[in-house]
Amino acid sequence: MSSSLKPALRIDWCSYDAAKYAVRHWHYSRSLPCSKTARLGVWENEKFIGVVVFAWGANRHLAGEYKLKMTECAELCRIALSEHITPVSKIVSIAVKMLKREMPGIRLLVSYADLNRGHLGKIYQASNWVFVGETGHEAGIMLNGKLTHRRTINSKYGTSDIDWLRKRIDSSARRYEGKPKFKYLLPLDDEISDRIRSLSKPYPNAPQAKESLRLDSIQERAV
Amino acid sequence: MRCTAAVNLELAALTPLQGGLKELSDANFEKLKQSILRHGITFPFFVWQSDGNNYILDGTQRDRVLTRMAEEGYEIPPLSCALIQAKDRKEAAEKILLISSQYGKMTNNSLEDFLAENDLVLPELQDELELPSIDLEYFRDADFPAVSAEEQGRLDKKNPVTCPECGHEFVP
Repeated sequence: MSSSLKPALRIDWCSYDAAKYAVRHWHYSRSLPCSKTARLGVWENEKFIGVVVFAWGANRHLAGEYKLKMTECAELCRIALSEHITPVSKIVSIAVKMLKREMPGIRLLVSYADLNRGHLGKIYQASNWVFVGETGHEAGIMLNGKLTHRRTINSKYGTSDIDWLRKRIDSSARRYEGKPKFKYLLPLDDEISDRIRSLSKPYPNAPQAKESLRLDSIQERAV
Repeated sequence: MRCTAAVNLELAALTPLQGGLKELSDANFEKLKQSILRHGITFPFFVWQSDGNNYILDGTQRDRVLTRMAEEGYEIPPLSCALIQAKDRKEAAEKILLISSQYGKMTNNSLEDFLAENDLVLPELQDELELPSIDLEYFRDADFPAVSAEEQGRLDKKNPVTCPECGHEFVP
C-alpha cells in the first residue's frame, strides 16, 4: 500500500484489453489464462490500477473433486494490481461479491498461492478462505534456458516427455521440482461450505516458506 | 557536436560503404532528424580510412539525414569520428555487420524498468526513437473504462454450440 489516504474505490467489470494490460504490467505471469474469463477492474480515484480475474480452472477435473459441475466452480486466477491504497483482501472480497451476484451458478471458488513466488496465500487467509493443503511440486521444465510450464510445452510440442524434449528440442532439458502450491477454497453457499468443511486445515504460516517469503509482492497466485 | 573522438571530418569527406544494407523509411528519417535537432550529434561516427577515403562503418543513416539537412540549408559542423582499423574492404564490411549486431535483447519489461529507474517517459521520446523489439501498445496509458457485465465470459454457463448441419443450437 502506498498511502494512508482513503481513495475513492471503484470495482467494476472491465474489458479483456484492460485485464491484459494489467497482467502484462503487474502480474508475474504476464499473461491471461486461455480459458473463459470474468474480469473485474479496479479503479482508485478514477485511475485504473488493476484487475481481479476469474476463470474456469486449467484443471478440467477441478470441479469434480468437490462433486460440482464445471459451471459451478471457478478459479480466482489473477490479482494484478499496480500501486494501490485499498487492501487487496477488500478488493478481492468486493470482486467475489460482484461475481456471485452476476453469476449465481458459481458455488465454489478455488485459488492457489505459489510458494515458488514466495506466496503463502495471506490474502486468502485474510478473507477467510479455506486452506485445503498443497498441490503438486512440479514447477515446470527448464527448456532452452527458460523455466516453462509443462502444460505450455504440451501445447506447443504435443508432449512434455523429457526424453523426447532432450532428443529433439534441447539436450539439456530437465524437470524442475519446485515448491508446492497452497490451495484455498471459498464456498459461496452453505451446502458447499458444509461439504468442504472436513477438508479444512490450519493456515500455513511464514516459517514454512521462510526462504522464499516475499511479502512485498502484491500478487498472489499459483500457475 | 555533443561528443569528441579521434578526428573531426567534414560531412562531404565521408563516404558510405554499406550501400543498401539498411532501409531508412520516411518515418524513421524524420525520427532521426528530430533526434539530431534535439540532441545534436551525440555519438561519434565510426570511420575506416583507406586510400584517402573515409568510409562510414557506423553512421550511414545519420550521414543520409545530415546530407539532406545540408541541402535544406542547415549548417553541419565537422563530425567527430572514431577511427576503426580494418585490413581491407572485406574486413571493413564484416565490421559493419558486427556493429549492426544486437546481442542483448530489450524487452517491454526491461525497458519499463529502465524508464522507471531513470525517470523517463516513453511517449515523450517516441518521436525520435525506433525500437523494433518493443511493443508500443504495452506503454499506452492505462486509461480503461468499465464495461458491462455482458462482456464477460459466463463462468456459470457453458457456451451453446450450433450444429453445422441443421443449425440447431444446444449446450453440450
